[in-house]
Amino acid sequence: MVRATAVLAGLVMLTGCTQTVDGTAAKPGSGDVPRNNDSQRKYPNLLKECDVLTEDILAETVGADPLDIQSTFVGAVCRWQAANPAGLVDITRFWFEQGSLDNERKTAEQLGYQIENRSIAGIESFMMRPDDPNGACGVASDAVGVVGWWVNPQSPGIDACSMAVKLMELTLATRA
Amino acid sequence: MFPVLAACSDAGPASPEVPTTEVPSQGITHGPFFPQCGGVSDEEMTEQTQVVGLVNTAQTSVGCQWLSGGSILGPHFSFTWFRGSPIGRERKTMELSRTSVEDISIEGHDGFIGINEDLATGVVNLCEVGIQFDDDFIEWSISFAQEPFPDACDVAVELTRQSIVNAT
Repeated sequence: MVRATAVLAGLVMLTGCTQTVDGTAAKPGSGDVPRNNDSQRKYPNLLKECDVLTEDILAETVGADPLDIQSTFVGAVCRWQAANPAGLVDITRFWFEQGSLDNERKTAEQLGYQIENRSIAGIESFMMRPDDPNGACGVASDAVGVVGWWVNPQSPGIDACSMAVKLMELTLATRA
Repeated sequence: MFPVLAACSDAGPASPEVPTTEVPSQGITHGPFFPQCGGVSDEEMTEQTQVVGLVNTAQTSVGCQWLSGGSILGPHFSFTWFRGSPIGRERKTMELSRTSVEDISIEGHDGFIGINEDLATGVVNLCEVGIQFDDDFIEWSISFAQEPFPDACDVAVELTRQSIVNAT
């Protein structure tokens, strides 16, 4: 359905003089766009939103049975929950096509997270860790806007950061 | 609806010829800062939704999710903060998947409110409110599982109002 949405957006663009309606107007030049074609060529895995990685791969990465994962929210932010034998693990993915790594870093700082800059698959990125007893960990990377992953275990003893990094490495793979 | 790249001349200020380069953050204006979970506590969530045993399972830089007993088998509540993401795309997603989507204005900020009705009972069991702040938007999603439950849109609107008030 998300992919269908992208197609619809493209159709609207082609109509040229369609009236903007309903109070959701964005600034000129900030709308959806053709530049997505470039990004699609550059990162074929990026634009499939919640399907960018299959649920099998998500589950495997967080140590869960491929059958024990379910989606809870879809769109530019996607959420899942998977069952690791050590406890439930929530997974969040975000992709803000008009966002930036700098703005994400600034936000993470304002939220009081511990931040560590690093490179993932050669892409400028940073890790972020809230003060969470279960070791929640997020990662954001500079990729046609900004893309990010969070792994939130519901119990301690799960290496959320390495799981988040692995998910990002898979996302930034330049081959579909 | 998506704004169109502006071939129309009478739509207010002339749309500049913005090149669609690979620098996506150019010309982007971000909205205010929303504290963790939109500034809404677990206690407030219980109070508003009247669901006991909620667990905040996904506190992240993009929002929070509350599930009954921490499990997806039950109601879903979430706050999400999109930074540099078109609200029109989210609205279109809703228009394609929900019973209805309408305009709404809360605390002077515009956006959408969408509902889903239980096909069998006609009861609104899901309500989502999205409110725009320049090139950002926030969304509260309130999805109930088992009756009785409070009016989902009353809950969504009130939590949205609180988040807007909590923004800095």
